[in-house]
Amino acid sequence: MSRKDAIFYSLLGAFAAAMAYTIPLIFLHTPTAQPQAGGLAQKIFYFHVAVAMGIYVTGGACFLASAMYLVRPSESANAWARAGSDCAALFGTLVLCSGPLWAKKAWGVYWVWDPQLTTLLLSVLIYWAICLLRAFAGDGGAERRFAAALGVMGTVNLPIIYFSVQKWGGNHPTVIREGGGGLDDSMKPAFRWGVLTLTLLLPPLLLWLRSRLALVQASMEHTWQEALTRGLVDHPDDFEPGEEALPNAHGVR
Amino acid sequence: MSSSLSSSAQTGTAPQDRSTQFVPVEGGGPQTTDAGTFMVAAYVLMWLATVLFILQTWRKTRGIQQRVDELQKAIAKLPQDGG
Repeated sequence: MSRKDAIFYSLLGAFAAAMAYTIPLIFLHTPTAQPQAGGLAQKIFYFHVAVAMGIYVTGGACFLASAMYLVRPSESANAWARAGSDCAALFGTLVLCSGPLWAKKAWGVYWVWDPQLTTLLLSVLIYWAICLLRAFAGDGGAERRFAAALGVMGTVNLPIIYFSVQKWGGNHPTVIREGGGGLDDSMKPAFRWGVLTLTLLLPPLLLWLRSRLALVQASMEHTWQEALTRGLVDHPDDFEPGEEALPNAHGVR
Repeated sequence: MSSSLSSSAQTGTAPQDRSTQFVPVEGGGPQTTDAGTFMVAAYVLMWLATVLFILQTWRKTRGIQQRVDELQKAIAKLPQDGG
């Protein structure tokens, strides 16, 4: 097992163990909040906030790697930029799905055009746009640069999400932020474990997995090009990175 | 952004009126089944999406890596250019 694999399996093990501890902690050992805060539905908070913080981790990775790619293009920077936008899109979608489920109980509606919700939606749409661009517009130098520029732009919007609460008001709770009353002591362990599991362990795990996928896809494209040049495979127009290679006359796939 | 500001104004909720803390209540307080349903739906959605994302990425990476290895082996068997 290589050193990288060892790090990955350590992360996976730590994440699984932390998750196994966090779930019963939230469901069985953490008290229910007041009905105005959603009652039982308030327990969504313990991973909703942690996953929302995960957007900053994955978005930050996307920003750094995208900026690095724009300055000095490399396969590695492109892979991490791609991984960052993929993971930020996933985390953002999870936040946008879990938040409304709590809001329906606490506010009576799934969605309001609150500044924080709206700016988050904008960021998630940008990350999804990057994913779609990379999936359907090819993997050439121009597409990579455009995706990297979008990655920088999407992450620049993230601080606006955070500060929108202070600047523009709205309905979104400010429990653990400046001006908030905070959590009761009995609720803090669940929140801390949620942050450990979903903000500190899950994002690096997913980033590593997705960056490895992007690197393997790039390796496939290079290998395929070499195979084409050497006359080993046919049908160059049918190939897309990640798809199964077509067999040539020698039966090589 | 102006639409979000106006919508926020329409709700009549001033910034200082929103929730600022969570406190426990004795016995869990009056509950409806909705709260539990929402909570379970949120957790199921969350973990299902995460697990599927990990499995899909893992499977795809392994599949492509296998094909790369096969192609590289086939390339290695070819006679060297000019050799």
